Amino acid sequence: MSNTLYKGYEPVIGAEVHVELKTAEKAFCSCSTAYGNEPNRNCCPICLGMPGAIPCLNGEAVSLAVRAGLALNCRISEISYFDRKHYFYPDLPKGYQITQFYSPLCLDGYVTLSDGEKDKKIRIREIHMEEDAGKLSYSENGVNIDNNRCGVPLIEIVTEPDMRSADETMAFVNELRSRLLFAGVSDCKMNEGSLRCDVNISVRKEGENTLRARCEIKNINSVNFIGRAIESELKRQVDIIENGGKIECETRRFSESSGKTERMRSKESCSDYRYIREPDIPPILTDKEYVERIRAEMPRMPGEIKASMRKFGISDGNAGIICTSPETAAYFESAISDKSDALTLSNLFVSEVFPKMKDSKSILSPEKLSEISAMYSAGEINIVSAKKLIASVSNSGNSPREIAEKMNLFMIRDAETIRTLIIKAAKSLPEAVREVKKGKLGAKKVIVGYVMRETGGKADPVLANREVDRFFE
Amino acid sequence: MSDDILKLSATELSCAVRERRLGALEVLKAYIKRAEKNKYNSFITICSEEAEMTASRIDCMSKSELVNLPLAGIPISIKDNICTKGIKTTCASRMLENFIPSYSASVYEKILAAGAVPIGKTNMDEFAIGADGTTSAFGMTLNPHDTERSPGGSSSGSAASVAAGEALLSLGSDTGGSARLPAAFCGVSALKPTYGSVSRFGLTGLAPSLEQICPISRDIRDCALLYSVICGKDERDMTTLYSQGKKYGVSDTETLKGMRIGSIPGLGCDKRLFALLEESGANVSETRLPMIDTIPEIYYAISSAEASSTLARYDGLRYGFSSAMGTVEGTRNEGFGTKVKERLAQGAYVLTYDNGKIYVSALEVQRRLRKNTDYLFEKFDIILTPVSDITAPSLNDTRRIGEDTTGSDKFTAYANLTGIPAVVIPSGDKNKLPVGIQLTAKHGEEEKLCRTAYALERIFKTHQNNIMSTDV
Repeated sequence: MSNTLYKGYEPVIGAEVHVELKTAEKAFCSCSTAYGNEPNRNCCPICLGMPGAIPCLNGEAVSLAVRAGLALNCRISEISYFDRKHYFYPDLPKGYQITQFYSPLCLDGYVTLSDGEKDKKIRIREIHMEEDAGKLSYSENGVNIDNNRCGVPLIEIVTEPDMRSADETMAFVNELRSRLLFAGVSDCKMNEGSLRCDVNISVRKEGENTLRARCEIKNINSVNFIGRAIESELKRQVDIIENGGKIECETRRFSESSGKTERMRSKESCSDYRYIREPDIPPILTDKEYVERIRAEMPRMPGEIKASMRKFGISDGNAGIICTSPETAAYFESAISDKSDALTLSNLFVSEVFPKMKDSKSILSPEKLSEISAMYSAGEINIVSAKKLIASVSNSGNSPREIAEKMNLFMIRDAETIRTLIIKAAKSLPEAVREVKKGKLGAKKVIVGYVMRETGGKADPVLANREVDRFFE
Repeated sequence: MSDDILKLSATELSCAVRERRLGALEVLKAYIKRAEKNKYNSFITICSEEAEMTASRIDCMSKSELVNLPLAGIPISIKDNICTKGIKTTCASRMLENFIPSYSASVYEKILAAGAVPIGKTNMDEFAIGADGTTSAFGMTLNPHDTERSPGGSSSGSAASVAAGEALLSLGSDTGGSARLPAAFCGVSALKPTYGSVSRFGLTGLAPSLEQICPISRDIRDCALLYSVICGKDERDMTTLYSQGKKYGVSDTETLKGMRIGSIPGLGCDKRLFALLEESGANVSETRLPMIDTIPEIYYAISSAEASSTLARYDGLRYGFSSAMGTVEGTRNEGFGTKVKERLAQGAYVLTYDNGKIYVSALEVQRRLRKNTDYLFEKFDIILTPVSDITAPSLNDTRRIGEDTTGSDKFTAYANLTGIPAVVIPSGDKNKLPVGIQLTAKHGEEEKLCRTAYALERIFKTHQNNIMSTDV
């Protein structure tokens, strides 16, 4: 992937991505993790940090975190621990966050980005588990605390500073998101905060090998904004350096309205978190057997699915659309059969089915799509009929074949019928017949066109052409 | 009659209630009368009404229902850091002065299910920080043996209430000796179970990796009885262990045949004690505890670090005391007592200085201590140690133990740092003040520990005051 240079400087980018795990219950208690409930409904003494109410680890969260690790090619630690990270904030009921500081669950992974020509590896340093904090909102009456999110299980994915452009970072986040979606780890909704991205950026002169001071841009809430934030931060840092200034390590935020990053706080003033081992939770043991059991259940990652699409001759564009979500990919994969060719199927899926899946309209089953595609491939129906069928079948219990019959969509493949129509055409179009006889063979098309018109486009075009040829022999 | 009731042990009394020879209400009356006087300030909250209802319910039960209640009708006091649903749980702090939990500690549910009659919440050192019972926001606890003296802490009220006959059993907690030290100073028994054998759910934590809830009672048999009710795996506490469903009862015919007993120098025991133990079949020899001099420092580092963490939740935003100043700083400054604030500062120091190196190296030393302890218990079944270098100090002089850096709590803290079980039983007295002795065993050996303690108890009873030398 190409680097974006700005005045001869390249950005060096690392990401920290927080992802909410898709568990029904919170990480350390049995409260619901449902989004959007009335404030402070999904709470109990444990997630509110009441005296003596101690945490109890949700095993589902661990298995989802392991899935995330496997989806990102990580090594899973056989033993890992929880730690407490201390700071006072109104949305943090215990005065500390339960996290994994000393020994994270997953280590040394990577994600491969491909632009069709070259592959690039982005290394994952670690994935650790932690709990989410609550949410603050400000009103005339002061600050309101909603503790519903307290204790929702998160993973934090930390990359090495391997990205070199805004595009690359956006591609990384998209790839990460799609892998986690396919692995069933999270619903990864950036707008609901179930995937949140912090980006670390520094710049350096092209060819430099050392890292310069960096800034962290916190909580960017769409992939598009990640790109814009990086572009604007790159310019800001380069301009400072070019004007003889020095980059200060600081935490910044991206303002959607100005399209620029703004200073939040200096990194130096960052609090000391006074980490200790979480004494209430014993070490997590994720031995080989446990990990292999999860690995065996792992669905295929979008990259693998795309590779197998390529083998079918499906274009990368179509494959990308098919792998939009686990649902679209699963739909397409179950529609593939021996009878229909995959290329046709992919075209029909992308143009006719996929747009409807987005707004979750009722759509036809993959088996029916497969049948229609097979009918088209076998020349039983034409493309117009295939599209018509897809639209009609979705709302019907009848088989595509029955409906095609009823709607009279099948091709006319009876030579006698075609010949009758050709004779009729020859009578109606004497001029064309003369032309052909003079040797202007192109005029045959006029005859074929007549036949097609008469049949409403349903005459088998191969058969029609052959019969017209015969007619003039 | 009431005096006779007071004389019965929990083992005897629950039997009498189960067999309907005594009513639970009748038993309660004998005790609550004394508790209500609260002569030694053992109690912060006395639950007379709730206790009466609980006792009446027991009296309404059929014999077949009573059969399954090992603690039928037993008046029990509960340290005020153990959450009791609907009943104030203050931790003897202004911070939680009016805190009424909406949930109960697992141990509280277990003793209720076993037929016990909770009569009140006992005084303690604020948030269990302290060793003399003087740091409570609700006044100091007095030693029933001498009201001019400290009962020891932090489970001061638990030990005092048992010693004063205000409760027959008590639940205390022990982070570094908090149940065993007051037991020794008040002349009663305490059992600090193996780490993880009793659920801590609902115990307002101080240093969660070290502490356990502990039975306190007049004799070791009653400790074993209460322990058998509260121990076992709890889904609400991940650090609890599966117990093999052992009965922890101690029979009258205990012998020490084949028991390998180690005694550390400075125990203050007459050679006759060893002779008597050997007479009962034990092999006694002298030994030393590994790395004992490192204990005060690593205990200090780990316990203060964890305390500063566990107490970080008190910010006045959701429950508990909230300062009129409207700031977290104000709430913590006014809500916590001096001793607590000292400990919090110590903890913050331990975790901040040189990037937390003190804490990390303390954990490393602790790991080595545990390893060495495992080796030690390959050679011994039981190790005898002193509880403390001193007897109950004068209340004018409590600073001596309160500020203890000389490590007089090293023998008790040893068991917390290694997680091994330990009991303290009275071994006699010195200048009319009770003296205790500590027995430790390896992980999970509560039964062996209680059996040996019981045999020792009988020796001490028979040979009162003749065994322990006077120059302890």
